[in-house]
Amino acid sequence: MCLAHACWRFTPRIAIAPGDSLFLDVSGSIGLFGGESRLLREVLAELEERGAAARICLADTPGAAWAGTRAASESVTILPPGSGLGPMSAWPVEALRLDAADCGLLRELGLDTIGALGGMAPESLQVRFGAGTALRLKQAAGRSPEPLDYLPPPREFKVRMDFESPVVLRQPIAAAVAELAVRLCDQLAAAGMGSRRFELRLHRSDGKCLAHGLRTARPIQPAPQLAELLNEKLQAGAPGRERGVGYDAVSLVARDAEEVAAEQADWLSGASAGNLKGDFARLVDRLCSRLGADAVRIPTPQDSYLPERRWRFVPALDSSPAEHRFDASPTAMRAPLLLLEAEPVEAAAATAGGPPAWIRWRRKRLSLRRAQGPRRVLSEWWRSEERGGREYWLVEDEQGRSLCLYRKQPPADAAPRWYVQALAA
Amino acid sequence: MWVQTSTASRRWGLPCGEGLDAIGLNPRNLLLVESGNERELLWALEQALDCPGLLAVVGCLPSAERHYGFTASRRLSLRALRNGSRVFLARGARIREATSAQTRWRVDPWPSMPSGLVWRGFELPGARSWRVGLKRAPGWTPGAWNIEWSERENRLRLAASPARANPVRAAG
Repeated sequence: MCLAHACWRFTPRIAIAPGDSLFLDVSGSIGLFGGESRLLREVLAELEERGAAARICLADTPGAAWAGTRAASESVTILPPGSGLGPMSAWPVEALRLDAADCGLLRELGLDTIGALGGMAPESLQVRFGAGTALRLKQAAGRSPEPLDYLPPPREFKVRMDFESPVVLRQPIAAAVAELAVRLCDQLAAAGMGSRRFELRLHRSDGKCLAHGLRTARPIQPAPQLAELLNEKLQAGAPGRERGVGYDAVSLVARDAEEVAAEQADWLSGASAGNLKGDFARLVDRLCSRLGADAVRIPTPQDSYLPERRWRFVPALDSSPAEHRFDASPTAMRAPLLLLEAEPVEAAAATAGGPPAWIRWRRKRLSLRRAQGPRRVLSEWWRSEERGGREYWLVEDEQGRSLCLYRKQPPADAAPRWYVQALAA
Repeated sequence: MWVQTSTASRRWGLPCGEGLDAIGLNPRNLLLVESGNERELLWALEQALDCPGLLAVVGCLPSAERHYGFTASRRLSLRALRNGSRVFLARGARIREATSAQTRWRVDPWPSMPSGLVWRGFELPGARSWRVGLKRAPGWTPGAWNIEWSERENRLRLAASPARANPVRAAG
């Protein structure tokens, strides 16, 4: 669904088909994108950007296009217009969107390819293999119409306010933003929709347009809060810094409007904040709008035994309620502060295989008095950057500072290297 | 909620899930906020104090603090009093300037109690210990205690006996 919405800029006629497929009727928009192959490349790039690996086929009929994505050797295929079943003749019958049972029957009878099937008389096809097979073949060849169930186009929620003369001061702009927020929220509420992404555009009188994106934790926003968040954004972006250039108009757009139930299930349901979700979400919104969405994060457990990969900090706006069961497995280290990157230290080993007698870390020499270990952690062999394992030691120096060290086994018989990874006390 | 500047993250790292779990806190309940500078850090702390339901707000001030002073601390403590929330600020060890915080502590690392067990030439470390000094609190006598983390009881407790004299200075 999300991918389908990503394709709105290519065509307003999009249908979702079974088997993870999308039909895009681009008959009117090829010229706008500079030709068929360029259009297909752009669609592919758009999908790839959203993390979907896609195969694309452009053909006269939905059936032929579907077959092309399944059976063609290239990931991007263009069947010439008016070619009918010709280019498809070598493709297997499975590419025709048939039932598995029908396909099995055809295979048993030696009708492996679309070409073999197309060579038969249509009447005998219908009699021998049923109406479904005949219909699919006709639809692929374009001899039978195939109505598609197109998605309703997205509603655009956009409000705009034009000033009579260019405005330079911040105060009237803030007032306009507040007014727009009220209007946009009214529109959204009337449609039963909400949005988590807003864009505020300031149209400058010299023709330039400044856009400020805003993301929120909850799709429903009371207008005053939205206005407050937007103004927070504006202050961070400091409009009007260029003297003498005023603003002609302000517009506010809700992107990715989504339908919301009256009682919205919250993004942190049950995860942490109990019945205080509303206040908590509001706090997250405010922090994100001023400091940026990447600055506000929540730790999420990962399947890894390496301490630096065990917990990943996910932006709070993206985090979902824990699907991971949190198991407190005994891992190598239980220190409260984990350095962003393990830091290599100079070390002198007291005994072979034992912890070092002293280390030089951050230009300070620490003599170690106590040590506990080793705890061995195997590295993840599917990541090539590190071979062999690590040996973790919890050490304490004579002043009581406690650190987590590990020793990496070097590839050849070079000296082992020591790293500081965490601070325990 | 834990707030620190990105400079502090590069120097001292981030709170670690394992370590939080080890002291009985669910890491999923942590909200980590990284701010670009000290002014934003103080702003984030004030926002957090206005949000009911946060167990505690922890802020790590940079060791060279410029904006945090008596006024800023007064703002924070007034908000905390009004909303009944708690804020803990970690500051550099060398700073002595007066603030309006309710209490002021000094925490130093401290050698753990000798365990008497030797393994590969090293004594095994005992429970992690700190020297905690109470510098200022209305109605209390300042003092200093040794505390240690008890893994078995899952809480901090007073260490059995002062391990050594000769106090250590370090950033707490």
